[in-house]
Amino acid sequence: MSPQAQAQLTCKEFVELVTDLIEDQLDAALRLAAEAHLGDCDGCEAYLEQIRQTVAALRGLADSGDFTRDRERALAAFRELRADAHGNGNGAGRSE
Amino acid sequence: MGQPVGDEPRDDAELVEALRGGDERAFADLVDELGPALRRLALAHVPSEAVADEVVQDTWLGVIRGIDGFEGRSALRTWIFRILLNNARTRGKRERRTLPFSFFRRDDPEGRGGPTVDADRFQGRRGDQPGAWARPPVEWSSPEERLAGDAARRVMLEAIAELPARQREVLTLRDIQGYSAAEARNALELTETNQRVLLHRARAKVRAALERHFDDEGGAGR
Ligand SMILES: [Zn+2]
Repeated sequence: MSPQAQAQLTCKEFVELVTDLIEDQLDAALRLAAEAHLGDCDGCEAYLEQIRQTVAALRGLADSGDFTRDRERALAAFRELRADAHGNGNGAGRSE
Repeated sequence: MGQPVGDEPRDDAELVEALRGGDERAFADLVDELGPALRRLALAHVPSEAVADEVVQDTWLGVIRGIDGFEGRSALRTWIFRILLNNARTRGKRERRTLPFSFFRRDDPEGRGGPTVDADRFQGRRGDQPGAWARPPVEWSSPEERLAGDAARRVMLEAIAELPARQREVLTLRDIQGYSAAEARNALELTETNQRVLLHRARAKVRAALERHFDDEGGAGR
């Protein structure tokens, strides 16, 4: 990824910079070049916007189903394998 | 940034001692903190919720059994993610062989190289403006509404399933689970740059899939 910051960015170069741009990882010169390009290019503006919309939509997939059963099983295993083995120790945090 | 959720993350040494001592409260906090991300990462490798549940449970069993031998050469959470990823990748490979279709079929786990947007979207060397859009993206109409719909959801899930494994892992933690770059990097043991490159490629592919979907649906107006 090495378009010269001095030269104007092409659209093809710009699309490879969008993640660095969003993540604020561009050096100052490249950031200026990217912003200058954006101001002057509807296609790249739409592209960047669509990447942002995609990221937002992905967050909407976050419902990962029911986690309570996983949790109960994990805690049961812990109780069985650890808490009981150390049960009479120092009384550390047996919550039930 | 820093630690994943959870109000006051204890430092590793203290937490490891608590777990070794059978402190159920400490374990429960850890399960609450990491459970959803572990489940989602497992789902990035295996094709069903039931199998993902098993992978997560095996991971916690590994933690419970292994904590005495944990030497602290890596961060505790990194170690836990490593156990999960080993389980999930192994299980994923096994499940894939039994599947009739091409679920998670890529061989190249990182899928680096090549441009992220099809080269034919841009003007070639002989165009008026080489490297400028030949076929620019068109603003999506009512994007919030359409992106929240079932059809778009299915398109995204399919596109994610097609990603090379490492890209899928990064996208899962960063964009679905909402981890910061630092959290994802630690969980997946990636360098900052590599993390970002994988994320970049993954996002571009999901966007492209949505664009194709909206094109087919019609109604992408300006
Ligand atoms: Zn452009």
